[in-house]
Amino acid sequence: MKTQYLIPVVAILLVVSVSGCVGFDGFKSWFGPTQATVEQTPDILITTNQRTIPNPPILADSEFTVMFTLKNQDQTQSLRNVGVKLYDWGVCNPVTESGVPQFLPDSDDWYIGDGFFLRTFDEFFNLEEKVIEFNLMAPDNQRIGNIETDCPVKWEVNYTFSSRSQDDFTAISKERKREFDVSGTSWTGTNQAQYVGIGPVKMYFDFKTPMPVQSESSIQFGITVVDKGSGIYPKIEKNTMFIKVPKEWVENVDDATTACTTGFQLVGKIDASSTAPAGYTPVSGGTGSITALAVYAHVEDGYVVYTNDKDISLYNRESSEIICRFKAPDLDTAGVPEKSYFISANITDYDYRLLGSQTIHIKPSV
Amino acid sequence: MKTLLILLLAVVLISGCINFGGSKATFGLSEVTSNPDLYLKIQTSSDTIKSERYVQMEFVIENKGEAPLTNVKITAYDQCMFTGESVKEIDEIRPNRSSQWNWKWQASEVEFDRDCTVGFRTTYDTYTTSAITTNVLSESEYYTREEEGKLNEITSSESSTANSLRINMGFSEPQPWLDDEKIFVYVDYNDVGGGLLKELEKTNVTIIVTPNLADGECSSYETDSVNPNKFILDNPLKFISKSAPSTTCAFTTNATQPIESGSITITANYKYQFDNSLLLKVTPK
Repeated sequence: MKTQYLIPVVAILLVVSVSGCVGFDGFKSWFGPTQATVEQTPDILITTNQRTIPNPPILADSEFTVMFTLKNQDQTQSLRNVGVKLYDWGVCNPVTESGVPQFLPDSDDWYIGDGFFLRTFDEFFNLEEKVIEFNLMAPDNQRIGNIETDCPVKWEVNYTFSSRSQDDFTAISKERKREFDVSGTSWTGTNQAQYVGIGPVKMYFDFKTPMPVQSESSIQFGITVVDKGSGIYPKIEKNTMFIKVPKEWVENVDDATTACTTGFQLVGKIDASSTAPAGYTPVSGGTGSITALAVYAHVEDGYVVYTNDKDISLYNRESSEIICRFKAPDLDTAGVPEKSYFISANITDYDYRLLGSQTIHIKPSV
Repeated sequence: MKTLLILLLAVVLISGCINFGGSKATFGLSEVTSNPDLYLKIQTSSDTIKSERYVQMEFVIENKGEAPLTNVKITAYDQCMFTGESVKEIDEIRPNRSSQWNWKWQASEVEFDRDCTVGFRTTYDTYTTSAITTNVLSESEYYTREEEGKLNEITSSESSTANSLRINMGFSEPQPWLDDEKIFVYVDYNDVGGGLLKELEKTNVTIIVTPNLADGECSSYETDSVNPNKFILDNPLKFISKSAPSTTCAFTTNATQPIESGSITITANYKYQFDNSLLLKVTPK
């Protein structure tokens, strides 16, 4: 083939490979299956319009203001426990009147701590904006020895937020699989996009098991927590991350208590009673001395929950992959040809910290 | 080069195709039109349902075929994120009749927009009858007509119930047949519906011939103990890729008069199933 035809031919192949035509796997077999992800913005609380008035350099022994706008850019969710903490101002000094810092908003509401000033907003409404102002005084000539210097003004914005992701998975009965084979057709369902909610801390599902999984076969997936914000989130605190899976998935696993990576435990109870308490379902599991006791998983709206019983650190803004293994239910006995399931994960009330700073150049006054 | 560019443009134009089978997925509406004997329409009051709210689903099922549909059962086998009634049973739907009903489902709580594929399976029992007239001529009649070129005046007619099972008959010799000859009849079974016919169960298919075909035997069939001209399926016929193994019957033609007309009638009772799905969107409150 002449080289002039190479580019159009490659272009056609690429277009075909990404086209929505069902039944053509494109280049999946080359690069492995991909799953679409619908992801909301990581930036929920942002700082904008940061400026210093008057424009630096600031003359010694004069007042200046460092200001910025804090905005909750989510259209639906309000934020709780939003705090703005000024913790470093170098050789400059906060301006106070009768011991009250001249900060905005509401100078009276700033808490004066040991080496910091803190303003807390119990609730920051969706799309709400607040202008934060720190009024500071540059040091006098004597203090800087008539030599130009810098004031590193540093602050931290923190807030409490919850993260949530959701994905779906389909299981088919053995009979259904046989029907496809016999009729010469194939499964035409779609692997819907996983949804990754708003906020800086994201959780991504990665199904290791190809969809659809056959009845009573293993279902394996991983979850990775990634900090996609610009702030600081060093670890997932213990008992704050929850993985919810359909209860049918745990009913046939050999040990439901160890279905997820070490560090995740089933929310339930170990009980000597032979019948499940209300709101619980019996599952297999338990080791050592508890094997003689029954293990019951707590069931909420048809889902059982796993939670982290240890802190999980994020290295390089990413956790190690959390792996869970379950088993698809026996759809054949239930007479169900195909069933879609939803799984979700959430991290509740995590604290996220954003750091901000402005270096102010100070010049001696004449 | 120009041709390649045009080809590229054509590929781009069709690249967005969904369900290459020809129907585009529509939220809140599902219609099954590919079955010769049954039409099903499911429509919802809204294609987007808010979290924890209710949706009305209207079902219309119609017998488009020529045989009654019995034991009709519609099951929502995958309700996705909804709860509510999921099984409807109808004893019988006669030809050209329809049945209509509503379900009210409640959406689960969601925190994200979710596209839901609700899966339905419809099963029913029905039957197909396929008949063909047969003509056996006595030796003298056959040869006379052969000499006069009038053999083709003896015609054969064929009739069949219009539904998802199509039974076709073929013969080793074209009609009319000469008396006292060995004739083979080949029976093909084809699923022409949009769903799935898994098998024709034992005893559910009968072949009845008239006395102009004698000493018959059919593969996979046994001769009825009372009526030697009736053959009953004694092994299930399983369908693979929409067709079942053919049956071969052997008969000896028999004419007690110059033109001995008769028929072969095949009746098959079967269970048919098809699946369809309904797309719905659930949104957070």
